Amino acid sequence: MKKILVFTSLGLALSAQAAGAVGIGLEAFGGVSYPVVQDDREQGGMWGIRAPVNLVPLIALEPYYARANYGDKTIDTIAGSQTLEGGYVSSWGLNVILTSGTPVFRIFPYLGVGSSTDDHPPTGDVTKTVYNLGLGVGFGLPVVKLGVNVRAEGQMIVNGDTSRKFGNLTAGLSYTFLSLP
Amino acid sequence: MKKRTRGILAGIALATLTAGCVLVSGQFLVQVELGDLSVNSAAAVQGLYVDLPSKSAYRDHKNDIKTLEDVALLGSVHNTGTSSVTVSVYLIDGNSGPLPLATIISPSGGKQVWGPLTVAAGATEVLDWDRSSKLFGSGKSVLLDEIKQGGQFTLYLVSSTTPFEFEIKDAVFVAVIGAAK
Repeated sequence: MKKILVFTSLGLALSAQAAGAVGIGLEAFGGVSYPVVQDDREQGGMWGIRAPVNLVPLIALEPYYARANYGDKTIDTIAGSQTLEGGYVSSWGLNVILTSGTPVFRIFPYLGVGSSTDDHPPTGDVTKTVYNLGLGVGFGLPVVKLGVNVRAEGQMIVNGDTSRKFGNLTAGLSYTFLSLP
Repeated sequence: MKKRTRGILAGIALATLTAGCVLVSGQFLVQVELGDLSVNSAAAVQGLYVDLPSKSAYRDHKNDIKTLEDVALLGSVHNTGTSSVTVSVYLIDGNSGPLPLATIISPSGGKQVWGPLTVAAGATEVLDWDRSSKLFGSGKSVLLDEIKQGGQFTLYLVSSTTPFEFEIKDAVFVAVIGAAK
C-alpha cells in the first residue's frame, strides 16, 4: 500500500511539474502521409519541423512546417499505362496542444490550423486553409532534454465545397532548449 | 490567458465544424473507353460519345460533384492527310452523332474545350496524361458544367484548316472529379 502511495505521489508531482512547466523546444520529424479517398495520388513520405512553446499550464502552442511528397498514381487504359504525378503538399501553421503526463511519458491531443500549398501537376498549385487533428505520445529523457514523439494525425485541406484529406503517421526527435519550472 | 487559449481552441473547433460537408468528400477517377475513330472533313464528322453514367464511379457521386480536379483525353492522333493539321476538340451535349464541320464549330454549335494540337502530315502524336490535361485549359469549366448536368456529351476532333483527315486510336476520356456530401 505504501508503495502505491509513493508511486502515485511521485506521478502526481511529476505531472504537476510537467503541467506547470514553461519551455521552448524544437522537433524534427518524419513519417508517412496517406491520401484519404484520393484516386489520383499514392502515399508518400513527409518531414518537417515543430517548435512547441509552453507558456501556460497544460497547453502548448506549436508553430510547424511540414512537407509531404506523394507517390505517382498509375492507371491502366487501352491507350497504355498512364502516370498521374503525386505532387507534394507543403504546410505551415499553428497547433494547440493539450499536454498531460510526466516529462518521461505524456499523451497529447491537438488541434491546428494553417496554410497549405498542394502542388499537383499538371493542374498546378493551390494554396488553401488546412486543419489538423491529432493524438501524440511522447517519451522523454529530461536529463538530456531529449524526447521522442509519435503522432497520428488527420489533415484536411479545404478547397471550396470539397477537401483533400490525409492521414499522417510521424515520429520526431525533440530537444527542449529552454525549460523553466 | 486561459480564456484566450480556450477561445483559440473553440475557434479551431468551430472552424472545423463549419467545414461541414467538406468532411465527407473525395476525389474519384472515372474512365470511359472511346476506342478508334476516323475523321474526314469531306464527310459529316463523327464524334466520340462520352457516357459517364455508364460508369459506377460517376453514378455513385453524380449528385455531389463539386469540382473537376483533372481531366485528360488519352490515345493517339495519326494524320493521314497530306498537310499539317491543328486539332481542337469541340463539345456538344448528348449523343449528337455525325455532324457537318460548320455545325460543330459554329458559335451556336459546339464549345471548344481542348487544343490546339499540331500534327504534321503522316505523323502520329501520342496524348499522354500531362500533355492532354494541359490542352484542356479553360475548357475544364465547360466540362465541369456538362459533368454536373448529366455527363453525356460528344467530343468532336476537328482541324482549323480544311481539308483534313486523321485517325484517333485507343481514345480514353479520364476525369478526376471532386465530390462532397
